Amino acid sequence: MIRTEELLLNVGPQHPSTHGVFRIVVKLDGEIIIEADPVMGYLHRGTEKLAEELTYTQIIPYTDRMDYVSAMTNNYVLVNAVEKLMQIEIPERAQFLRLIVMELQRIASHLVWWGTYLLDIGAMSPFLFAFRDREIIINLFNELCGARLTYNYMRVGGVKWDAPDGWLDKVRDFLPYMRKKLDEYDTLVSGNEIFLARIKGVGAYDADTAIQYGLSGANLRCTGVDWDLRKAQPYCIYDRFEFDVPLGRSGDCYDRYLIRLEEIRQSIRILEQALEQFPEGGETMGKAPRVLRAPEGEIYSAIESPRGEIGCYIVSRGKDKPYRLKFRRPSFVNLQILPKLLVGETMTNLITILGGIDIVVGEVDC
Amino acid sequence: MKGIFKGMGVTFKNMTSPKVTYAYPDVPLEMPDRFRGIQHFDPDKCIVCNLCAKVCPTDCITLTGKPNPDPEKRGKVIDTYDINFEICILCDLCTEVCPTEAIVMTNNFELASYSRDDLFKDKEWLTDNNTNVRQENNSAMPKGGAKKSAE
Amino acid sequence: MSDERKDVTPPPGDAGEDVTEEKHSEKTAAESSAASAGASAAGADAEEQAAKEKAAQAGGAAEAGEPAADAAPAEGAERPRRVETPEEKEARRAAARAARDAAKAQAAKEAAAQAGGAAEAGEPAADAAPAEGAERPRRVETPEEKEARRAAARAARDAAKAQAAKEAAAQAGGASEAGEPAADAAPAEGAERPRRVETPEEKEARRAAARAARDAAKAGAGGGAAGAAPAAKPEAPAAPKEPSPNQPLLDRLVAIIGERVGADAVEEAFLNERDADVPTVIVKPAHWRQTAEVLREHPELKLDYLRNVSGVDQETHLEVVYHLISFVLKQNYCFKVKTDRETPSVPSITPVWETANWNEREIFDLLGVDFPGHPDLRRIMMPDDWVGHPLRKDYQPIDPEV
Ligand code: SF4
Ligand code: SF4
Repeated sequence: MIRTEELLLNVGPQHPSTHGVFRIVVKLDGEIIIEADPVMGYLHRGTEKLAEELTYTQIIPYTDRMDYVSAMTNNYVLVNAVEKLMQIEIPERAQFLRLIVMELQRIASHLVWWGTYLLDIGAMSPFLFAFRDREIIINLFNELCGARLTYNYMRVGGVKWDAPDGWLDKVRDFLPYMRKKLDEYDTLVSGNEIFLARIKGVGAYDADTAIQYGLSGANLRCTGVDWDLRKAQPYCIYDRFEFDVPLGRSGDCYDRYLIRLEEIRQSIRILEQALEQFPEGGETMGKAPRVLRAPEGEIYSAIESPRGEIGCYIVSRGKDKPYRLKFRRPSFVNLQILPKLLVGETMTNLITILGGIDIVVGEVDC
Repeated sequence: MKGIFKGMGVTFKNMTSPKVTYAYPDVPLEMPDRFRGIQHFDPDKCIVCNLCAKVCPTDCITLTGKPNPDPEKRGKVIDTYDINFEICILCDLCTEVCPTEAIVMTNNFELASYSRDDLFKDKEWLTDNNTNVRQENNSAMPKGGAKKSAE
Repeated sequence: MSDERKDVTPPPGDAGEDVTEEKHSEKTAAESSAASAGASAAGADAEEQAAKEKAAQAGGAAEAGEPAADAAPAEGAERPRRVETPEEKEARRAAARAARDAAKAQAAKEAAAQAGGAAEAGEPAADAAPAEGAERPRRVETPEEKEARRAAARAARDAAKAQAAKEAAAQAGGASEAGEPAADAAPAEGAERPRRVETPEEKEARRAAARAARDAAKAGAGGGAAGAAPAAKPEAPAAPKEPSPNQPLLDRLVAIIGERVGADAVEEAFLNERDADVPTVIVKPAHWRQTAEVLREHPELKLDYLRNVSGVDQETHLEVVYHLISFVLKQNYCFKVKTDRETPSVPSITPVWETANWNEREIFDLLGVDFPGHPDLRRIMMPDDWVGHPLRKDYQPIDPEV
C-alpha cells in the first residue's frame, strides 16, 4: 500500500513569487493543497498610527510607500479625501495633471503586473519587455516630480509641479508607441498555448463570491460585475472622458489577464482625450490654506486604483492632523479570497492564482 | 503551437532592435533637473526659521541657531545643521517650505556606504555638496515674498 | 452647468397651477415680510456697514449676481433668473465663503449680516421689496438656491459656533420663522397660503431651523428667537438639498431596522454632511448581527458589498465603522457600532460579508476589539506575542526601542 502523509510547506516570506515579504503556510496532500494560511505583517509599518502624528501634507509621502507600484493613485486618495472634507476646489489644470499621472500610473502598474506575472509562470522575456516600456513612464514621472517611484506629487489643493516644457508632448508620443507594444504583447503571449493551459480556468469564482469577499478592480470585473469607480462614482474629472470598462465572464485568471491588458488600452484612450482637452495655462495650486486644518467630521472617499478600490477614511477633530486615518487597501481585501481559491489546487497553481490577484505587499501590510 | 511561433517572431524581431539598457556604473546617469537627490545647504541664506525641521515627516533634520555675530543685525544665524540620511526619504518637503531656498535639492543620489554613521551629514558636508544643484526649486507652491529678496 | 439648467427649467411651466399658487404665496410672503422689512433692511444695512473688504466684496458680488436682490420694487418685473445662474452661483459662493471666513474670525456681526446678505441674494423673497406681480419661478431655482442656502446655513452654523451667541440665536430664530411663515408677525391679509405646495420644503426648513437652533443653543446662546427675519428665510430651506435625496432613505432605513430588528436597535441616525450626506446609523452592538443580515437581504437595501471596516478609538469608547454599498441600488450607507473601552466586543459579521474577516482581525489586532462569532480571530499584522493594541490612543510600547 502507498501511504500518504500531509506535508506542511512554508512559502515565503522571502519568495520571489510573492512579490514582497508575504508568506503562505500550505498543507499539502501530495501535490494538492488542502489548506492555506496567509501570514502577513512583515511589512507592517503602522502607517495609520504614524499618520495620527503627522500633518496632512506630511502623510502624502507615506502614501507613496503603501502601494509603491502605484504611488500616484495613493497620493490622490488621500488628498481627495482631505479636499472633500475641507471643500477645497482644485484648479482645472491640476485636475488634468492629476488625471494624466494617474492613468499613466495605471499603465505602469499593469505593466509591472504583466511582466512579473508572466515571470512567475515561467516566461522571461515579457518581463523585460514590460519593464522596458514602463521605464518610459517612470522617466516621465521623474522629469515631472523628481522621483522614480515615490512621487509625493499631489498636494491638498492641487499638484506640486506643473508639467515641464515638452512633457506633454512626450506623453503624447508615448501613447501610440504603447499601443503598438500592446499588440506585440498580445502576439507574444496571449495566444501562447502553454500560457493558456496554465491560466485558463484556474482560480475561477463567480460574481456572488466576488462581492461577498469584497473584491474590487479586475478581480471583481472578471466575473462580469460592472463596477469601476471611475464610472460608477466619478471622481477627479473622469466623467468627461469616454472609456469602456472591460468585463470578464468566467472569473478565472485568464479573464483577469485580459482585463488588465484592456485597461491599459482604455487608459491610453483616456489619456489621448485628456491631452486633447488639456487647458492652456492656469494655476496648478488652488487656494488651500497654509495650515491644513480639516473641519470636524469624517469622510470616506474611494477611488479606483489599478488594484481596485482604494479608500481613505478620515476622522477629523478639527486639527491639522487626522484623529484617525484608515486606508482601505485593495490588495489586503482582495487577498482574503486566496485561501478559498487555493483549496484543491496544485502547488503550481498557487503561484498562478496569487499572481492573478495582483497584490502589492506594501499595501497589504500598510 | 501556432501561438508559440508567433510569439517567437516577436522575440526575434526584438533581437535587432536598439539596446535600451543603461550602462549605469560606467556611464553616470543623467537625472532631470527636478530630481530629488541629496540636499545642498547654504548657511548664508538660512534664517533659522525651523520650518524645514518642522515639516520633515521623519524628523531627520536637526538644527541649532546662534545669535548673529554682527551686532548690527538682528536675528539668528545657523550654527549646526544635520540631516540623517538613514531616515531621510527625500520627500522634498523641506526644500518646499524653506522660504529662502537655503536648503535645496541636488541631482546627486549616490549615498551608499559601508557604515551607517557615514549617512549622518552635517552642515559642512551639505554645504560642500554643491554640484548639480537643482535650478527650479518650487513651481507651484505659494510662497512668501522672501524668495526673491534673498537672491 | 447651463445645460443642467435647461433640463431643470421646464417644470415650472407645466406645473402652472403651482405657479399661480406660489405667486400668491410669494406675494403674501413678501407682504408679510413687509412688516419685518425694517428688520431685513436693517440686515442689509448691517451688511453694508460691516463692509469690511470681505463683506463688501461678497455682498457686492451677490448683488451683482442677482439684481433681483436689490431693494428696488421692480414691479411686474420678470426675473430671468435662470440665465444668470453661473455667475450668481459664483457670487453666492464667494459670499458664503467670505461669510465663513468672517465667522471663523469671530467677526460675529459681520458674519451674521453677511449670511443675511448671501441668503438674500439666494432668495429674493426675503427682500424688503414687495415686488408685486413678480413672477417667481421658485422651483426652477432650486439648485442655485440650494447652493446659496446651504452656504448661508453653513455660515450661520459657523457663526453660531463662533460664540456669536446673540446673532446666531437671532438668526436661528429667524430660521424657524422662515420655516413657518405663519409665525410671521405680518398679518398677511387675504393672503392665500398654499401651504400644501410648500410642505416638503417647509418641513425641511423647520428641520434646518431646529438644527440651527440647536447649534445656537450649544453655542451658549439661549435660543433667543428674536426674529432677525430675512436672513433666515433662505437659510431655512437650506435643508432640502440634504434630505431630498438622502433623508427619505435614512428615514426608511431606520424604519426598516426598527421593524425587522427591534425598535431599540438604532442608537442614532443622521446624515453625514461632510461626506455627501451619507446616511449614517449607529446600531446597538447587541442588534448588530441581526441588523447586518437585514441590511443584506432587505429588498429596499440590498447592501451586498462591504467596502470598508474601520476601528476608531474615540477615547471615551471604541467604534467600528462599516461602509456599505448596494451594487443593485447604488446607494451608500455607513453604520457604526459603539462599544466600551474596557471589554470591547462587537458581534462579528464575517458570516454575512466575508470581507469583514481580515478587517475584523486587523481591528482586533490594532484596537483590541473582540468579535464574537468570528471564525478565526487572531492577530494579523503584529506578531502573535505582541503586547497591547497599537492603534489605541493610550498605547505605550513595552519596549520603546522597537
Ligand atoms: S527630504 Fe523629506 S525626509 Fe528628507 S530632510 Fe527633507 S523633509 Fe526630511
Ligand atoms: S527652512 Fe530654510 S531658512 Fe528655515 S531653518 Fe530650514 S533651511 Fe533655514
